[in-house]
Amino acid sequence: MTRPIRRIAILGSGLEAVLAEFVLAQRTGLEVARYSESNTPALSAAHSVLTPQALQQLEHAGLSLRDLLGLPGSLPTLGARLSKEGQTRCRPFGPCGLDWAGTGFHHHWLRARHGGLAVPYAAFSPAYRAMQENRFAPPDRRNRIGALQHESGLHVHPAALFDRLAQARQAHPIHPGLDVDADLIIDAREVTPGLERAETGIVQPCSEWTCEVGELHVSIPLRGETLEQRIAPASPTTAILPPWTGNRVSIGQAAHAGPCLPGLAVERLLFELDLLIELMPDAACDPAETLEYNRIWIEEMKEVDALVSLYLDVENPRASERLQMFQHRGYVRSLDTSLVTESDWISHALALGHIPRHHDPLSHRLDDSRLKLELGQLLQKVNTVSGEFPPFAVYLEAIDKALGRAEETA
Amino acid sequence: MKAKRRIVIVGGGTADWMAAAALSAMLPRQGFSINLVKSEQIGIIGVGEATLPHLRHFNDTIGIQEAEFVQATSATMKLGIEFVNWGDIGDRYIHPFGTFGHAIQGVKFHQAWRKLNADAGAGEIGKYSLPVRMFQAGKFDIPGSIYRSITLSYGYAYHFDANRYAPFLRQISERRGVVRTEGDVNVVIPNPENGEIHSILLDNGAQLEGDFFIDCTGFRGVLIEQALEAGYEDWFHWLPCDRTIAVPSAASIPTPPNTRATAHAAGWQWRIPLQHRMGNGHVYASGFMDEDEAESILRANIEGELIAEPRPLRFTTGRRKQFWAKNCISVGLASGFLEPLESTSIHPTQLAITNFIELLPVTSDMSRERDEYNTIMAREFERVRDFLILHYHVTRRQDSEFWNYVRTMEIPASLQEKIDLYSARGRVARYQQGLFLEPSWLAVYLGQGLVPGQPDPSAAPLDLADLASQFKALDQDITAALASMPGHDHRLAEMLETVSHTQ
Ligand SMILES: Cc1cc2nc3c(=O)[nH]c(=O)nc-3n(C[C@H](O)[C@H](O)[C@H](O)COP(=O)(O)OP(=O)(O)OC[C@H]3O[C@@H](n4cnc5c(N)ncnc54)[C@H](O)[C@@H]3O)c2cc1C
Repeated sequence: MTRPIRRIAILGSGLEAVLAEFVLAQRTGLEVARYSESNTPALSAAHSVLTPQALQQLEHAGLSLRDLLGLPGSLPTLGARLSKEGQTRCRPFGPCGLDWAGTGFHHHWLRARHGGLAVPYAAFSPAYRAMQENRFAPPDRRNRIGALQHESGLHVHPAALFDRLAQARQAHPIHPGLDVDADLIIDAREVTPGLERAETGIVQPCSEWTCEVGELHVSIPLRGETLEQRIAPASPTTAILPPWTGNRVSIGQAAHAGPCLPGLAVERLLFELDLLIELMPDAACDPAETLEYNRIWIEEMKEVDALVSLYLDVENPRASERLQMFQHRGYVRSLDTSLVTESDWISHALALGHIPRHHDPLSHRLDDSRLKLELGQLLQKVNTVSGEFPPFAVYLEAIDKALGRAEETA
Repeated sequence: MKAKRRIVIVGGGTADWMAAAALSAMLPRQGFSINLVKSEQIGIIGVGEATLPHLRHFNDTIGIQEAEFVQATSATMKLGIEFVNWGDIGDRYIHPFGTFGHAIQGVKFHQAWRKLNADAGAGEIGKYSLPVRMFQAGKFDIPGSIYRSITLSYGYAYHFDANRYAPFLRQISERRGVVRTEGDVNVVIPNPENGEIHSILLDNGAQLEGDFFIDCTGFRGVLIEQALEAGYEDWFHWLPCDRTIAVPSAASIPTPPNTRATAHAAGWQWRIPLQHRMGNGHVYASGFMDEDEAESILRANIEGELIAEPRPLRFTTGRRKQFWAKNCISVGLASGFLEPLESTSIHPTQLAITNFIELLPVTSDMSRERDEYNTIMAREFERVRDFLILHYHVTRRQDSEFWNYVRTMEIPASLQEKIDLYSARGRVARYQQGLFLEPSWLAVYLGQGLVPGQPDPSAAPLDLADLASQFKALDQDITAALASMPGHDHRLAEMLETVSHTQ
């Protein structure tokens, strides 16, 4: 097929399909049509966490933070609180601490911890105390500490986001024998929808992750309700296969149905769309572009799978090799991927309680008393900054006012 | 108190003093002792003169003041490399240390440029690169300061006298406690329990023990190969140049702020301007040309008067199979060699040292660090290798057996995929890591005349009239920035002036 791409067909009735339709229509100027087998959207709680990176990309596609904040149920978030084997740790978005003496902050923290420091790693982000005390402030220049700036994301109700995106876009029904007329077909049919709801818990600026045997249980607070998700290993383990062949490319769960962490699910879809746009061929089956897309995608998915496997009791050679090295000396190699980076590995591994036995010897460029002083001063600054964050409820009221919205969405 | 860990560096050329200076600057003093063994009998290669911008970061880490370095090594500034006769005889392009233009409405600049160029003509893409225009105008200034209004980034590197860099680093290292021992390594004594190096015996009878050894003995690889037999992967079939003849000539004024690489019938010639002389060398493939012919081509293509006798050298392009074996890493020429077409020879030295510092063993079992180090270094060498092969393979030259060979040879699959991708619609393979990223690949693809078959659909919505006016504005901005920029020699003199004031 050598026909130039003018028309893209997206198959799917869930949020991934509608998000793909929105982003591609906004960013390519091509004719995009969606074909759906059902009128009721298949929704999954996995799509309710928008990370800071996802928010940026949505903004780029024309969906602003203000727009998203205005959706019923939307709630800002600073990260996740993770419980495992009776211990609770935080994993805030964004960095913790500052790099000193030519080495990463986590090495200094490790050294101090080996010497008896009881303060958790995450406490070196202003988001930590804010999560504990139910406060919130979006990142801005005023709450920056040198190079240390916390980040924020958003919890959205997948149904609200779906409605917002599907507004004014009618999907074509799919029926047996239908011949989809398109130059490129994007398969975005989700395979594991699942949206459990719970009574609203406390309205807080973070999600709750609980590691159970071979399973991760996630609670995502919204305004008015809490969404629940159980993430379990795929059975049998889903293979990572090239998603693009000929004029058909699968994205999201249709490309890889393996389990995904909250936040990473939307980020991954946006990454795929971005890559697809970057490599959009003139004619659908150009082998060079297909090959490049598949090469990058496979590498990214292997990293995602490796990271996810840390939470579930599944064998993953890449993860165990990386984890062994990390536990040995707190080192993670610079990665060639953008969905999962070395700092993601560090923060996830520490949040899961994997404490390296050794730290980078470069940390000793600061002698013991200097290290103690630097850590103490940094912690004090971090606490001062987070202490100035307003209570979450006050922040939410201010948002409502700014959006001209008085009532709370049920 | 814990005993200090003993690091022994063997060599005395550029690589070893770079290692000594970096280790003495970065490692906590209380934990390590650093010894350097230097031979008086065996000379150094000493021709490494053109560098990449990363060297500035390396110097910064060591705490070197730029002006002092420039003075001590007779350095000049480098904005990129000018390639002559590569795509075809008579072709000329610049690989700058910087970008071409900036994205227009989210569309990559080169794709927008291709669109405009195909329609109304946009001129050479280099017209929209600040470092290319600086080079053409013989201008130079430190990035940032007053040129911020132009949203074009550029970097710079140095040309320097390698024979002066090593003594400069030596002073710094010795001040920081590095102990130098004279002597040739005669015998390497293994630890019978684990095969690691226990100590080295010098020709003067001295014996040096160490916990860790750094082999910087150049092509000889006295520890890594002669003692530990780490093995060598030969890339001769892809990069068939294996000889060089180097010779300095008189300096030329004004000093060009760039390296030049001119392709000849069976290789290429470098021209590297320093403050006090011009470095020249002809890199050639002995399978296609003999030494006499190579020397006469070199002599015929040197602008100034020769100031020394031509010096022949041999090399084998490739890499050590294990960069780190037992308790020894190889650094510099001992770790492998990639011809200096993109000034990449000193860079692996820098990389080896920084990676080693990052992976400094924390226990006596260093197997994890070793595996990791070997993986990273292999990846870096292979990515640079592909980039170098590109220069030879993407050519229209048919004027010699050499060019016919490199143009038609089978290339690594990893490179073929990159070329195919670019050939389709002008896209550059996406990598997060590696020395040469998108702007560098683009410079060579475009410069060597590789023309993509199709336009990029992302550029289709761009309005041509709007594009033309944006390109014009960019061109004018660059012209205005150049008007207020000093000449390269002038800026260099200003910098040197600051040293004489502080002395
Ligand atoms: C043709 C050519 C052109 C080049 N151009 C560039 C360029 O433009 N840019 C760039 O970045 N790099 C370039 N290089 C590379 C650059 O020259 C080297 O990377 C740099 O000089 C480092 O060399 P080295 O210290 O590893 O080895 P050498 O300079 O060979 O030093 C080896 C040292 O080991 C010592 N030694 C050897 N055997 C023993 C022993 N048994 N006992 C004790 N000591 C011993 C010697 O005395 C010597 O001091 C070029 C190299 C070549 C060959």
